[in-house]
Amino acid sequence: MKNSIAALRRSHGYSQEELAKIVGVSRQTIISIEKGRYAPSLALAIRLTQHFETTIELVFTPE
Amino acid sequence: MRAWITFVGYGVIAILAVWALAHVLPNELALLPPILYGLIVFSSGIGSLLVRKHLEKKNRTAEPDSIEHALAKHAGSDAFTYALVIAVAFGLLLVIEEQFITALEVYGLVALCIALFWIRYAMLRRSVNEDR
Repeated sequence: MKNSIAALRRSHGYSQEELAKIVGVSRQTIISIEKGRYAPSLALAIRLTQHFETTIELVFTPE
Repeated sequence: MRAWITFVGYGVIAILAVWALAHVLPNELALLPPILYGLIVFSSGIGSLLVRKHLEKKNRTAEPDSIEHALAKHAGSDAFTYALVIAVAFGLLLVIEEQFITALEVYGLVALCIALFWIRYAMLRRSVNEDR
């Protein structure tokens, strides 16, 4: 699953740890999502996209 | 990591203290060191559980959406399969060695594990399908 979480996070000036704390997961989860190695749950994807005020389909694209 | 190092450090100090105490205690108190060793073992079990819970809370690794939680579930299901294969192989070894009663017990346990899996599966399936 490709995504633009890393770019969104950087544009908002968050570190991986800060974003992880905001959405309530471990830092490793954010790292794995950014690298496309872990597909987040629907609930987590919603929390991430809501925080960045965007939509799931704009952030996550299937490979 | 620091929490684990501190925990192990305290454990080593406690063991050394009891070991030193055992060498200076009079014979009437010879029962005390084994009791203290038992206490150390018991409290280290509780302590390791508390340290793990503390680290899980601090790092949010036990959160249902965290990758560690998903990996732990995956590892658990893989380990269950491996345990079944090992148990079946062990049962076969017992049959070859003509220890039929023990082999029967092992295969009984395997059957129980498989039954538990299907019971759990049926319960989860029912819980996701039931109307609220």
